[in-house]
Amino acid sequence: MRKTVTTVVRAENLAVSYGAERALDSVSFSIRAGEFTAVMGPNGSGKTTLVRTLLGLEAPDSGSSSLFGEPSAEFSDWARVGYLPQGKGAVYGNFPLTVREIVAMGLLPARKFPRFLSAGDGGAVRTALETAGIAGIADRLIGEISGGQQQRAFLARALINNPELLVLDEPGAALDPLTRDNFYGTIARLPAEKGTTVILVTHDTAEAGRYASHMLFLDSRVVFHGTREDFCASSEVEGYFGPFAQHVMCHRHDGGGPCPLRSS
Amino acid sequence: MSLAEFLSYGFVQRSLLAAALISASCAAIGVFLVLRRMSLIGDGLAHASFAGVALGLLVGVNPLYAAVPFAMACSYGILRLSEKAKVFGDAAIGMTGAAGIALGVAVSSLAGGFNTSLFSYLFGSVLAVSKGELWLAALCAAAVFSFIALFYNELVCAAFEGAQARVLGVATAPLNAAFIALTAAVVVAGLRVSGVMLVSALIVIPASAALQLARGFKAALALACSIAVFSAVAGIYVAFASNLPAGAAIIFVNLACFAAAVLCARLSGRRVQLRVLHE
Repeated sequence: MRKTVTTVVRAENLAVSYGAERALDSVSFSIRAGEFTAVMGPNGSGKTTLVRTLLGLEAPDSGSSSLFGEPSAEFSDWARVGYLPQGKGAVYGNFPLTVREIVAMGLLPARKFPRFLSAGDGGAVRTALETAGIAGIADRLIGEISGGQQQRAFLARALINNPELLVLDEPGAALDPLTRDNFYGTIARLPAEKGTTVILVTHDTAEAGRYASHMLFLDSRVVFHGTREDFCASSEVEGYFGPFAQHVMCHRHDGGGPCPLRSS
Repeated sequence: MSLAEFLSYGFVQRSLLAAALISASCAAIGVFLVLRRMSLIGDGLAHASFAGVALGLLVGVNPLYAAVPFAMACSYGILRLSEKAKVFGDAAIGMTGAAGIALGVAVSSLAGGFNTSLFSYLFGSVLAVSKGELWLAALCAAAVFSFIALFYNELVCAAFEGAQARVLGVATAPLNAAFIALTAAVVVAGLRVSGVMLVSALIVIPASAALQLARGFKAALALACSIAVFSAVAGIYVAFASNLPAGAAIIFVNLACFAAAVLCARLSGRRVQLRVLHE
């Protein structure tokens, strides 16, 4: 039986190094259920290292992290987590997997040994394909479709279990503007509709400002972590990233009100 | 010689069966290894097993039985070198293989007198397969296909995602260790078919040919195994009819199949598909 926890992700004094390079240094924060957190920061600030460490894919030098109250390294209930890693949307050449097979992979965490998929899984796969708008290319090989279509296939796989936590590492890079709007629109509805917690690693300040309820700024250390409203009122962030980034994030293009920087 | 006459010999039946079982096992494993850019592990483990063969000959144990645990230990060594000592995978394979060849040469030099026997393991002698070796081939094939059937989805995920397959609930470390150990056993069983120098071709060529044509993972596995079995049977027939070494003839047929697959893929642009999930 699943434990009910309101803190979905927690990091305490996380430190990760690559040789002499310190990727994360004393990183501490927590993310509660239903929050949409945009993780931002300059290149090399440790964003991808952070999400990989939170998911137990990297071992920290010191500190600890947990998912749903369990240490990341021991976490095993992966049906609760959807992950779209960085670099998806790359070229897969002759890899003999169809889009349908890749999306079906997402069902595995919910299966016990032996993890067989059956004809009955076709419905769940079809729903995920339709949600991501790629039902028409279900039988194409992954190497035959565009980077943007690949990205949507991996999103469909991440969403197929209706995860409680969705981690997206720079998902918008390969998407055209219209597809990106649809993509983020799908993601942005999840916290309100299903209570999904979303962690979005992105360089896209406009998208982060438009959809995220919380901001986590990294530069190896946590520079800022709080609500979007606190972020917009913060003078520290302006000093760190300059007024332009803050303006773009705080001036919502969906009628969300005037930019606080302008009004002040 | 007619096909019926060819098939009437007991040693031919044994060699055909052993070669088909081993070739199909190597091909199935090969699909995963080729896609994981680990094709050369077959080469490395074959070289490493050479030391096991030499030790077996030295102490009077069937060389294949002696080489199986030796190759499995080497497969574990390759994994440890690449994971713990942060040595690149191909470098770990190269070092382990070189160590095996060096040890094998040293042992055979010290012992002397079994150069002819050693030669048959270097280049294969499938027509001399014993009943015990046929059983080893059958055991390996049963282990490979049972493992793939039970862990098919995990193996596909690991091949596609690498370490990130953990987030799809795949225990990648034990799965990789078991898979590489199984590869070691199959490589050793394949020494009788193609020998130390050529056994990795049984892993790489049918898989590469199938990947030219297959549309879907199961189709790739089925095609690779079919190509491997056809090449084994046709290769032995060609070898028998034209007095060629069987190991080399099997590889020639495999290469011809690969060339045909490339040609088919270029000309038709069509790929073979097996349905995975039905609507």
